Amino acid sequence: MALNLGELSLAELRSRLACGLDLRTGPFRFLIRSRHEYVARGLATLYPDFPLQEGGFRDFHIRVDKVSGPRRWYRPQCNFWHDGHEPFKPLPADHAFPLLEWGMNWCIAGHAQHYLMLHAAVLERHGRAVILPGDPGAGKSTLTAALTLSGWRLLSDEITLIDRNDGLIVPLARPVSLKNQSIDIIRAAFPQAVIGDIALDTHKGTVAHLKPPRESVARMDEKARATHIVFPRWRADASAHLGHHSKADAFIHAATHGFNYSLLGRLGFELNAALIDTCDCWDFEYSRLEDALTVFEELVS
Amino acid sequence: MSAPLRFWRIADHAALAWRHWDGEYVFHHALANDTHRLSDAAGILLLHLMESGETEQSTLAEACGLDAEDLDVILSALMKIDFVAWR
Repeated sequence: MALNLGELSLAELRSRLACGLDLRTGPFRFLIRSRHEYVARGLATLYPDFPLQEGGFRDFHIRVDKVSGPRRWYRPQCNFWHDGHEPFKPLPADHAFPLLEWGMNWCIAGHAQHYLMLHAAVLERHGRAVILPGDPGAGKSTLTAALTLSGWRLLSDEITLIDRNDGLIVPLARPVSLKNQSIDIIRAAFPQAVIGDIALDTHKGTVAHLKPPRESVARMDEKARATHIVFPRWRADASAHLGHHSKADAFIHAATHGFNYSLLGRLGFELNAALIDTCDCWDFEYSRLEDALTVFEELVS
Repeated sequence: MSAPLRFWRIADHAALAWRHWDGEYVFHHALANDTHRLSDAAGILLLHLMESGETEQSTLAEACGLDAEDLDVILSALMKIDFVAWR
Protein backbone atom coordinates (compact mmCIF):
# COMPACT_ATOMS: atom_id res chain seq x y z
CA MET A 1 0.00 0.00 0.00
CA ALA A 2 1.50 3.33 -1.07
CA LEU A 3 2.12 5.98 1.56
CA ASN A 4 0.20 9.24 1.16
CA LEU A 5 2.14 12.49 1.19
CA GLY A 6 0.16 13.71 4.22
CA GLU A 7 1.55 10.87 6.32
CA LEU A 8 5.00 12.46 6.17
CA SER A 9 6.05 15.05 8.75
CA LEU A 10 7.21 18.35 7.28
CA ALA A 11 10.79 17.37 8.15
CA GLU A 12 10.40 14.03 6.35
CA LEU A 13 8.82 15.78 3.38
CA ARG A 14 11.74 18.25 3.18
CA SER A 15 14.17 15.38 3.39
CA ARG A 16 12.41 13.43 0.61
CA LEU A 17 12.18 16.53 -1.57
CA ALA A 18 15.92 17.07 -1.25
CA CYS A 19 16.64 13.75 -2.94
CA GLY A 20 13.42 13.29 -4.93
CA LEU A 21 9.78 12.90 -3.94
CA ASP A 22 7.95 10.35 -6.06
CA LEU A 23 4.41 11.71 -6.46
CA ARG A 24 1.63 10.22 -8.56
CA THR A 25 -1.15 12.39 -9.95
CA GLY A 26 -3.60 10.55 -12.18
CA PRO A 27 -1.69 8.52 -14.75
CA PHE A 28 1.54 10.48 -14.29
CA ARG A 29 4.43 10.04 -11.91
CA PHE A 30 6.59 13.02 -11.04
CA LEU A 31 9.94 12.85 -9.31
CA ILE A 32 10.08 16.25 -7.63
CA ARG A 33 13.24 17.72 -6.18
CA SER A 34 13.29 20.95 -4.21
CA ARG A 35 14.94 22.57 -1.21
CA HIS A 36 12.53 25.46 -1.37
CA GLU A 37 10.41 25.92 1.75
CA TYR A 38 7.40 27.19 -0.25
CA VAL A 39 7.38 24.01 -2.32
CA ALA A 40 7.42 21.79 0.77
CA ARG A 41 4.69 23.86 2.40
CA GLY A 42 2.55 23.92 -0.74
CA LEU A 43 2.80 20.18 -1.22
CA ALA A 44 2.04 19.53 2.46
CA THR A 45 -1.06 21.75 2.27
CA LEU A 46 -2.43 20.78 -1.14
CA TYR A 47 -1.24 17.24 -1.87
CA PRO A 48 -1.65 15.35 1.45
CA ASP A 49 -3.98 12.73 -0.06
CA PHE A 50 -1.78 11.90 -3.05
CA PRO A 51 0.06 8.57 -3.06
CA LEU A 52 3.83 8.42 -2.99
CA GLN A 53 5.54 5.66 -4.92
CA GLU A 54 8.87 3.92 -4.56
CA GLY A 55 11.18 3.32 -7.51
CA GLY A 56 10.10 2.29 -10.97
CA PHE A 57 9.43 4.47 -13.98
CA ARG A 58 8.76 8.18 -13.56
CA ASP A 59 7.20 10.20 -16.35
CA PHE A 60 8.78 13.51 -15.37
CA HIS A 61 11.90 14.41 -13.41
CA ILE A 62 11.45 17.98 -12.23
CA ARG A 63 13.02 20.40 -9.82
CA VAL A 64 12.11 23.81 -8.40
CA ASP A 65 14.84 25.64 -6.50
CA LYS A 66 16.37 29.01 -5.95
CA VAL A 67 18.70 30.09 -8.73
CA SER A 68 22.39 30.35 -7.97
CA GLY A 69 24.54 33.46 -8.08
CA PRO A 70 23.72 36.91 -6.69
CA ARG A 71 19.98 36.26 -7.20
CA ARG A 72 20.15 33.82 -4.32
CA TRP A 73 20.32 36.81 -1.95
CA TYR A 74 19.36 39.93 -3.92
CA ARG A 75 15.69 39.77 -4.87
CA PRO A 76 15.88 35.97 -4.76
CA GLN A 77 14.58 34.04 -7.71
CA CYS A 78 13.57 30.45 -8.35
CA ASN A 79 13.40 28.35 -11.47
CA PHE A 80 11.94 25.11 -12.81
CA TRP A 81 14.04 22.31 -14.22
CA HIS A 82 12.78 19.43 -16.35
CA ASP A 83 15.34 16.71 -17.06
CA GLY A 84 18.02 19.27 -16.22
CA HIS A 85 16.72 21.88 -18.68
CA GLU A 86 15.19 25.23 -17.72
CA PRO A 87 12.22 25.86 -20.04
CA PHE A 88 11.13 29.06 -18.27
CA LYS A 89 12.68 32.32 -17.15
CA PRO A 90 13.31 32.59 -13.39
CA LEU A 91 10.54 33.99 -11.20
CA PRO A 92 10.58 35.67 -7.79
CA ALA A 93 11.41 33.08 -5.13
CA ASP A 94 8.00 33.39 -3.47
CA HIS A 95 6.37 32.15 -6.71
CA ALA A 96 8.01 28.76 -6.26
CA PHE A 97 4.82 26.79 -5.66
CA PRO A 98 2.82 28.25 -8.57
CA LEU A 99 5.92 27.66 -10.69
CA LEU A 100 5.85 24.00 -9.69
CA GLU A 101 2.16 23.77 -10.66
CA TRP A 102 2.72 25.53 -13.99
CA GLY A 103 5.74 23.36 -14.63
CA MET A 104 3.74 20.19 -13.98
CA ASN A 105 1.05 21.42 -16.38
CA TRP A 106 3.73 22.19 -18.95
CA CYS A 107 5.16 18.68 -18.61
CA ILE A 108 1.77 17.06 -19.18
CA ALA A 109 0.60 19.41 -21.94
CA GLY A 110 3.87 19.11 -23.83
CA HIS A 111 4.51 15.41 -23.52
CA ALA A 112 1.37 13.34 -22.90
CA GLN A 113 0.58 12.88 -26.58
CA HIS A 114 -1.00 9.50 -25.93
CA TYR A 115 -4.11 11.45 -24.81
CA LEU A 116 -6.21 14.05 -26.55
CA MET A 117 -5.69 17.06 -24.28
CA LEU A 118 -8.19 19.89 -24.13
CA HIS A 119 -7.66 23.16 -22.31
CA ALA A 120 -10.65 22.80 -20.02
CA ALA A 121 -11.72 21.91 -16.51
CA VAL A 122 -13.76 18.76 -16.03
CA LEU A 123 -15.85 17.53 -13.11
CA GLU A 124 -18.14 14.58 -12.53
CA ARG A 125 -21.39 14.09 -10.63
CA HIS A 126 -23.81 11.13 -10.72
CA GLY A 127 -21.56 9.41 -13.26
CA ARG A 128 -21.72 12.31 -15.71
CA ALA A 129 -18.64 14.37 -16.52
CA VAL A 130 -19.08 18.01 -17.48
CA ILE A 131 -16.31 19.69 -19.44
CA LEU A 132 -15.81 23.42 -18.87
CA PRO A 133 -13.75 25.10 -21.55
CA GLY A 134 -13.38 28.78 -20.92
CA ASP A 135 -11.49 31.76 -22.11
CA PRO A 136 -9.48 33.65 -19.47
CA GLY A 137 -11.78 35.68 -17.23
CA ALA A 138 -14.83 33.56 -18.06
CA GLY A 139 -15.12 32.36 -14.47
CA LYS A 140 -14.10 28.77 -15.22
CA SER A 141 -11.78 28.29 -12.26
CA THR A 142 -14.17 29.94 -9.78
CA LEU A 143 -16.98 27.71 -10.97
CA THR A 144 -14.71 24.66 -10.90
CA ALA A 145 -13.68 25.43 -7.33
CA ALA A 146 -17.28 25.97 -6.24
CA LEU A 147 -18.43 22.69 -7.81
CA THR A 148 -15.45 20.87 -6.31
CA LEU A 149 -16.39 22.17 -2.86
CA SER A 150 -20.03 21.19 -3.38
CA GLY A 151 -19.64 17.47 -3.81
CA TRP A 152 -18.59 17.22 -7.45
CA ARG A 153 -15.61 15.00 -8.25
CA LEU A 154 -12.73 17.05 -9.58
CA LEU A 155 -11.18 15.37 -12.60
CA SER A 156 -9.05 18.29 -13.70
CA ASP A 157 -8.89 22.04 -13.38
CA GLU A 158 -6.81 22.84 -16.43
CA ILE A 159 -6.16 19.88 -18.72
CA THR A 160 -8.91 17.51 -19.81
CA LEU A 161 -7.29 14.21 -20.74
CA ILE A 162 -9.19 11.97 -23.15
CA ASP A 163 -8.18 8.34 -23.46
CA ARG A 164 -7.62 7.58 -27.14
CA ASN A 165 -8.75 3.96 -26.71
CA ASP A 166 -12.16 4.45 -25.15
CA GLY A 167 -12.82 8.21 -25.29
CA LEU A 168 -13.25 8.41 -21.51
CA ILE A 169 -11.95 11.23 -19.33
CA VAL A 170 -8.82 10.36 -17.36
CA PRO A 171 -8.65 12.16 -13.98
CA LEU A 172 -5.73 14.24 -12.81
CA ALA A 173 -7.34 15.65 -9.64
CA ARG A 174 -4.64 18.29 -9.10
CA PRO A 175 -5.20 21.53 -7.11
CA VAL A 176 -7.47 24.18 -8.63
CA SER A 177 -5.72 27.39 -9.60
CA LEU A 178 -7.56 30.46 -8.29
CA LYS A 179 -6.77 33.92 -9.54
CA ASN A 180 -7.39 37.43 -8.23
CA GLN A 181 -10.95 38.02 -6.95
CA SER A 182 -11.86 34.35 -7.18
CA ILE A 183 -9.65 33.63 -4.15
CA ASP A 184 -11.76 35.85 -1.90
CA ILE A 185 -15.01 34.72 -3.53
CA ILE A 186 -14.25 31.07 -2.80
CA ARG A 187 -12.99 31.83 0.72
CA ALA A 188 -16.19 33.71 1.50
CA ALA A 189 -18.53 31.14 0.01
CA PHE A 190 -16.69 28.08 1.34
CA PRO A 191 -14.94 28.85 4.64
CA GLN A 192 -13.86 25.18 4.87
CA ALA A 193 -11.83 25.43 1.65
CA VAL A 194 -8.13 24.69 2.07
CA ILE A 195 -6.22 27.25 0.04
CA GLY A 196 -2.43 27.39 -0.16
CA ASP A 197 -0.08 30.37 0.02
CA ILE A 198 -0.97 33.41 -2.04
CA ALA A 199 1.54 34.47 -4.70
CA LEU A 200 1.27 38.16 -5.58
CA ASP A 201 2.13 39.84 -8.87
CA THR A 202 2.58 36.73 -10.97
CA HIS A 203 2.03 37.03 -14.74
CA LYS A 204 -1.52 35.84 -14.02
CA GLY A 205 -2.03 38.30 -11.16
CA THR A 206 -2.56 37.05 -7.63
CA VAL A 207 -2.62 33.27 -7.57
CA ALA A 208 -3.45 30.63 -4.97
CA HIS A 209 -4.37 26.97 -5.21
CA LEU A 210 -7.30 25.06 -3.77
CA LYS A 211 -6.74 21.60 -2.30
CA PRO A 212 -8.62 18.91 -4.22
CA PRO A 213 -11.09 16.88 -2.14
CA ARG A 214 -9.79 13.62 -0.70
CA GLU A 215 -12.46 11.62 -2.55
CA SER A 216 -11.42 13.07 -5.92
CA VAL A 217 -7.83 12.04 -5.26
CA ALA A 218 -8.84 8.59 -4.02
CA ARG A 219 -10.79 8.02 -7.26
CA MET A 220 -8.14 9.37 -9.63
CA ASP A 221 -7.84 5.99 -11.37
CA GLU A 222 -11.56 5.94 -12.15
CA LYS A 223 -12.30 7.31 -15.62
CA ALA A 224 -15.53 9.13 -16.43
CA ARG A 225 -17.80 9.55 -19.42
CA ALA A 226 -18.37 13.12 -20.64
CA THR A 227 -22.03 14.01 -21.17
CA HIS A 228 -21.98 17.83 -21.28
CA ILE A 229 -19.73 20.61 -22.50
CA VAL A 230 -20.59 23.91 -20.86
CA PHE A 231 -19.04 27.23 -21.85
CA PRO A 232 -19.29 29.37 -18.71
CA ARG A 233 -19.34 33.15 -18.69
CA TRP A 234 -19.56 35.26 -15.58
CA ARG A 235 -21.46 38.55 -16.05
CA ALA A 236 -22.43 40.95 -13.29
CA ASP A 237 -26.13 40.71 -12.37
CA ALA A 238 -26.82 37.99 -14.94
CA SER A 239 -29.36 35.39 -13.92
CA ALA A 240 -28.03 31.86 -14.19
CA HIS A 241 -29.21 30.24 -17.39
CA LEU A 242 -28.17 27.71 -19.99
CA GLY A 243 -28.49 28.33 -23.72
CA HIS A 244 -27.89 26.12 -26.72
CA HIS A 245 -24.31 26.10 -28.02
CA SER A 246 -23.68 24.86 -31.56
CA LYS A 247 -21.92 21.50 -31.63
CA ALA A 248 -19.84 22.51 -34.64
CA ASP A 249 -18.66 25.57 -32.73
CA ALA A 250 -17.92 23.45 -29.65
CA PHE A 251 -15.87 21.16 -31.88
CA ILE A 252 -13.84 24.02 -33.31
CA HIS A 253 -13.38 25.58 -29.85
CA ALA A 254 -12.12 22.30 -28.42
CA ALA A 255 -9.81 21.82 -31.39
CA THR A 256 -8.49 25.38 -31.28
CA HIS A 257 -7.91 25.30 -27.53
CA GLY A 258 -6.69 21.72 -27.48
CA PHE A 259 -3.06 21.18 -26.53
CA ASN A 260 -2.42 18.52 -29.15
CA TYR A 261 -5.45 18.32 -31.47
CA SER A 262 -3.39 19.10 -34.58
CA LEU A 263 -0.55 16.87 -33.55
CA LEU A 264 -2.86 13.85 -33.42
CA GLY A 265 -4.09 14.46 -36.99
CA ARG A 266 -7.04 12.29 -38.03
CA LEU A 267 -7.09 10.62 -34.61
CA GLY A 268 -7.54 14.03 -32.97
CA PHE A 269 -10.48 14.72 -35.29
CA GLU A 270 -12.14 11.38 -34.54
CA LEU A 271 -11.63 11.65 -30.77
CA ASN A 272 -12.92 15.20 -30.68
CA ALA A 273 -15.88 14.31 -32.91
CA ALA A 274 -16.77 11.31 -30.75
CA LEU A 275 -16.70 13.58 -27.70
CA ILE A 276 -19.01 16.13 -29.31
CA ASP A 277 -21.31 13.33 -30.54
CA THR A 278 -21.93 12.19 -26.98
CA CYS A 279 -22.16 15.60 -25.27
CA ASP A 280 -24.88 18.20 -25.01
CA CYS A 281 -23.30 21.61 -25.52
CA TRP A 282 -24.37 24.70 -23.60
CA ASP A 283 -23.52 28.32 -23.03
CA PHE A 284 -23.88 29.19 -19.37
CA GLU A 285 -24.10 32.70 -18.02
CA TYR A 286 -24.14 33.41 -14.30
CA SER A 287 -23.33 35.93 -11.64
CA ARG A 288 -24.14 34.16 -8.34
CA LEU A 289 -22.31 30.95 -7.48
CA GLU A 290 -25.23 29.46 -5.55
CA ASP A 291 -27.49 29.82 -8.61
CA ALA A 292 -24.79 28.27 -10.78
CA LEU A 293 -24.54 25.28 -8.46
CA THR A 294 -28.30 24.74 -8.65
CA VAL A 295 -28.27 24.82 -12.46
CA PHE A 296 -25.38 22.37 -12.62
CA GLU A 297 -27.07 20.00 -10.19
CA GLU A 298 -30.19 20.00 -12.36
CA LEU A 299 -28.07 19.47 -15.46
CA VAL A 300 -26.78 16.10 -14.26
CA SER A 301 -29.77 14.95 -12.21
CA MET B 1 -20.23 30.76 -77.28
CA SER B 2 -20.96 28.50 -74.32
CA ALA B 3 -18.65 28.22 -71.28
CA PRO B 4 -16.40 25.15 -71.27
CA LEU B 5 -17.60 22.26 -69.14
CA ARG B 6 -15.98 21.96 -65.75
CA PHE B 7 -15.80 18.65 -63.89
CA TRP B 8 -15.32 18.87 -60.12
CA ARG B 9 -13.92 16.29 -57.74
CA ILE B 10 -12.56 16.01 -54.21
CA ALA B 11 -8.92 17.11 -54.28
CA ASP B 12 -6.41 14.28 -54.52
CA HIS B 13 -5.14 13.01 -51.15
CA ALA B 14 -7.66 15.12 -49.22
CA ALA B 15 -9.16 11.99 -47.61
CA LEU B 16 -11.93 14.02 -46.03
CA ALA B 17 -13.58 13.02 -42.76
CA TRP B 18 -16.68 14.81 -41.58
CA ARG B 19 -19.40 15.27 -38.97
CA HIS B 20 -22.78 16.95 -39.25
CA TRP B 21 -24.56 18.58 -36.33
CA ASP B 22 -27.63 20.82 -36.43
CA GLY B 23 -27.19 22.11 -39.98
CA GLU B 24 -23.43 22.62 -39.77
CA TYR B 25 -20.58 20.48 -40.98
CA VAL B 26 -17.04 20.02 -39.75
CA PHE B 27 -14.56 18.54 -42.24
CA HIS B 28 -11.02 17.34 -41.72
CA HIS B 29 -8.52 17.36 -44.59
CA ALA B 30 -6.06 14.56 -43.92
CA LEU B 31 -3.16 15.76 -46.05
CA ALA B 32 -3.24 19.36 -44.83
CA ASN B 33 -4.36 18.28 -41.32
CA ASP B 34 -6.78 21.21 -41.42
CA THR B 35 -10.24 21.31 -39.86
CA HIS B 36 -12.99 23.57 -41.23
CA ARG B 37 -16.50 24.38 -40.08
CA LEU B 38 -18.70 24.59 -43.19
CA SER B 39 -22.23 25.61 -44.05
CA ASP B 40 -24.93 23.09 -44.83
CA ALA B 41 -24.66 23.88 -48.57
CA ALA B 42 -20.89 23.37 -48.70
CA GLY B 43 -21.21 20.16 -46.70
CA ILE B 44 -23.90 18.76 -49.00
CA LEU B 45 -21.76 19.61 -52.03
CA LEU B 46 -18.71 17.83 -50.61
CA LEU B 47 -20.75 14.79 -49.62
CA HIS B 48 -22.15 14.63 -53.16
CA LEU B 49 -18.64 14.68 -54.64
CA MET B 50 -17.44 12.09 -52.15
CA GLU B 51 -20.32 9.81 -53.04
CA SER B 52 -20.65 10.39 -56.78
CA GLY B 53 -17.08 11.19 -57.77
CA GLU B 54 -16.23 13.68 -60.49
CA THR B 55 -19.31 15.69 -61.46
CA GLU B 56 -19.97 18.28 -64.13
CA GLN B 57 -20.71 21.73 -62.66
CA SER B 58 -24.32 22.14 -63.81
CA THR B 59 -25.15 18.59 -62.68
CA LEU B 60 -23.58 19.43 -59.32
CA ALA B 61 -25.69 22.59 -59.03
CA GLU B 62 -28.83 20.62 -59.72
CA ALA B 63 -27.93 17.77 -57.38
CA CYS B 64 -27.20 20.17 -54.51
CA GLY B 65 -30.12 22.53 -55.19
CA LEU B 66 -27.83 25.53 -55.65
CA ASP B 67 -28.02 28.34 -58.19
CA ALA B 68 -25.00 28.97 -60.39
CA GLU B 69 -23.79 32.01 -58.47
CA ASP B 70 -23.91 30.34 -55.03
CA LEU B 71 -22.23 27.24 -56.44
CA ASP B 72 -19.39 29.37 -57.85
CA VAL B 73 -18.81 31.04 -54.49
CA ILE B 74 -18.78 27.75 -52.61
CA LEU B 75 -16.55 25.93 -55.11
CA SER B 76 -14.13 28.82 -55.20
CA ALA B 77 -13.87 28.84 -51.39
CA LEU B 78 -13.45 25.08 -51.23
CA MET B 79 -10.77 25.19 -53.93
CA LYS B 80 -8.81 27.77 -51.92
CA ILE B 81 -8.58 25.39 -48.98
CA ASP B 82 -7.70 22.52 -51.33
CA PHE B 83 -10.86 20.52 -50.70
CA VAL B 84 -11.92 20.35 -54.37
CA ALA B 85 -10.25 20.47 -57.78
CA TRP B 86 -11.51 20.62 -61.36
CA ARG B 87 -10.51 19.73 -64.90
